[in-house]
Amino acid sequence: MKFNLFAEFVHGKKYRERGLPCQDFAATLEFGDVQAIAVADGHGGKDYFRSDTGAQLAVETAFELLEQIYNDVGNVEKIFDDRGIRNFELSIVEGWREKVLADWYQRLDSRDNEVRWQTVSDKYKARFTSDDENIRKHYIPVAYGTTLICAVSIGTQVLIVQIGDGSCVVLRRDGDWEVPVPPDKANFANVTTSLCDEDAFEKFRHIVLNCDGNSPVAIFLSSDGLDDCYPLFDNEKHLFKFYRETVINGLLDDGFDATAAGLREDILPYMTERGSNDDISLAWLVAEDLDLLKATVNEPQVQSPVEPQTQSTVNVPQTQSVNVPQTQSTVTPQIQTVIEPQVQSTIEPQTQSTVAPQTQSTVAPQAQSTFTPQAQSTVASQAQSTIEPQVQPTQKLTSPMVKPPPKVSPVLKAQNITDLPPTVIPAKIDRKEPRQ
Amino acid sequence: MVMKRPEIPRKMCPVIFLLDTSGSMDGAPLGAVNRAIENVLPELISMNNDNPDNEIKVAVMTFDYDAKWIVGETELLSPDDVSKSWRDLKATGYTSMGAAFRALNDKLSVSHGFMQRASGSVAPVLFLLSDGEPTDDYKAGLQILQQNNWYKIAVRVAVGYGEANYDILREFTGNEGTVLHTNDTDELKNTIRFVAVTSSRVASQGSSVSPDDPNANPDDNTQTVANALQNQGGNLNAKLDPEDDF
Repeated sequence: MKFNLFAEFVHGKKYRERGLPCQDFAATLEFGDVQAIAVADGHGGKDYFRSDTGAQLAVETAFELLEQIYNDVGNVEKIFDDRGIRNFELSIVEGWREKVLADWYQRLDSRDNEVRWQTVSDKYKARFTSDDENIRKHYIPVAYGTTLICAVSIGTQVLIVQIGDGSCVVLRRDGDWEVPVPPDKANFANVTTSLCDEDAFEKFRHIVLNCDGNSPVAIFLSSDGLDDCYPLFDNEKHLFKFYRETVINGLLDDGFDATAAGLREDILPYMTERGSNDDISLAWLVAEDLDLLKATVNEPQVQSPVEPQTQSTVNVPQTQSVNVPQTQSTVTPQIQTVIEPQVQSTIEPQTQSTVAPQTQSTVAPQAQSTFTPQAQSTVASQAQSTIEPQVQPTQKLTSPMVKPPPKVSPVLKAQNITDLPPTVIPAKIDRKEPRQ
Repeated sequence: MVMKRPEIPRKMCPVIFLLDTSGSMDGAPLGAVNRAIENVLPELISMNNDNPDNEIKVAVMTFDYDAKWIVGETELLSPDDVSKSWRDLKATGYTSMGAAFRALNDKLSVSHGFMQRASGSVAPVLFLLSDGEPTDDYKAGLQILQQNNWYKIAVRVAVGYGEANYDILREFTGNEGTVLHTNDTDELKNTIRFVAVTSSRVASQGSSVSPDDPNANPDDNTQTVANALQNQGGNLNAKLDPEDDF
């Protein structure tokens, strides 16, 4: 399916009033038959003093990896498989950390003049500037801490990967709204899982949506600055209403450009001012065919029960016991689980007393355990049904990080990242300055 | 064409009082508490009238032999409704602070407590008043409460009177800047009002700037209140200017 792309981020009231930077970042990427959007929300706490840069680097890392994957796979039918997705997530974590460390050492001389450096706690200043390189490398990513949600449309599938808070909301061809990525109960208010967490790789969640049958017609990504404009209880219902009544009605009445402009110039700044006071990011993949969007809203296509499954894989953090959804319309109840505020850890992501090199955190065997039998078997059966009518060979998107299966040593994984081909084309990221 | 702006619900700012009504509070101290609450409520009403984005809602728990919700057993009430139904508190019994912490923890819940209308962007205010040592296992109750995410993001303030244990009050707030103490009943009334009004205003304003510390962590709500209390310290009898920016 061909989508229209949009991404915008606006400066939150509570940061603007204090002279602090916008810490959200959002962008779009389009090349070949790849269409991608991403939003990242840098943390607001005082020790995350370069989280604005961290958010931008997260989006750039994901987009550059997508180009590498795409270029490496070549002109073949592409589908996502679970191992490839986990490799993608691992590569985001490691690629982001490399970029973060490069940025840190590049800006050593100017650091002391940065406004947010003045607010960093003594504890973290000591860690960031430790004489011990292992300690520095362990803690420097904290300064850049951020969430990330990325949606990628390639061929007949859309992959969504997420770490931390924020939301992905999907409108299906049958008119149903859903939040398909499994929730992470560790996210609450201003506490979130993060790319800077030592075990960030384990905290990624993802899902693949198939664009046959009950296709996704609109996919919206938002940072929590938008979510927090509404009460926590039934938060999704408020988001559905916002997308339906404000965004989609705008698209159907005024088209893509006018709606995008309206959101940039008025709606999103209004929402931070009157709602959350936080930075707000919003991005969408919306069917370019507005007649299809109109028909979805006005004449939802009821799906027959024999339709093929449209959700192929789901990954959830290992600490959760969320069921893998097996049918397209049964996701919502599990997603609407109320956030209970008693299950989570502290706001400090890296307060462990033992300092270890970062590569130790991406412990390989953990990846193995995320490949649940359900997910694997679902992928396998879907891959078969995809392959059969195809003339072209099908290649799973595992190639560029041809990392051996998860038993590979952590050291090798780190090398794999640095060994990525140097001829990578820079991602064509649609960069923007945040709206005030 | 101008897009229609979405409706953004007025966000709820819960202000929850935990008041020690043990026997030692009998007489002048509890009289001061009763008068203080009577004085605070009109100021909360005024804040609500001035703030179209956020709305203060109130709950009041007393603890003596056990913990009991005087206001908010089933839902948080507007300060106006509380004002109309307020009855003076009576003092009796022990200081069951641990039971109070556990009862508070039960209500700090989206699914079965006060927080259904809460959003992730407005912190609740938790106000603790005590005049003595807890007579039950306060530690166990506090440990449960400290795992609650609403507690973690809350504005936590405490007022101690007479023989109150400062260390325990500080343990509750997690910030010595939001614990005030007095031995004088007249000052107790003003201190309660000062702390309750200041913390409620900071919490309900959400993004207010601390003029002395513009780089303060915008998400550390208790520290923001500590700064605000410090900025106005020593002037408990002054009328609090609603235009003040904390």
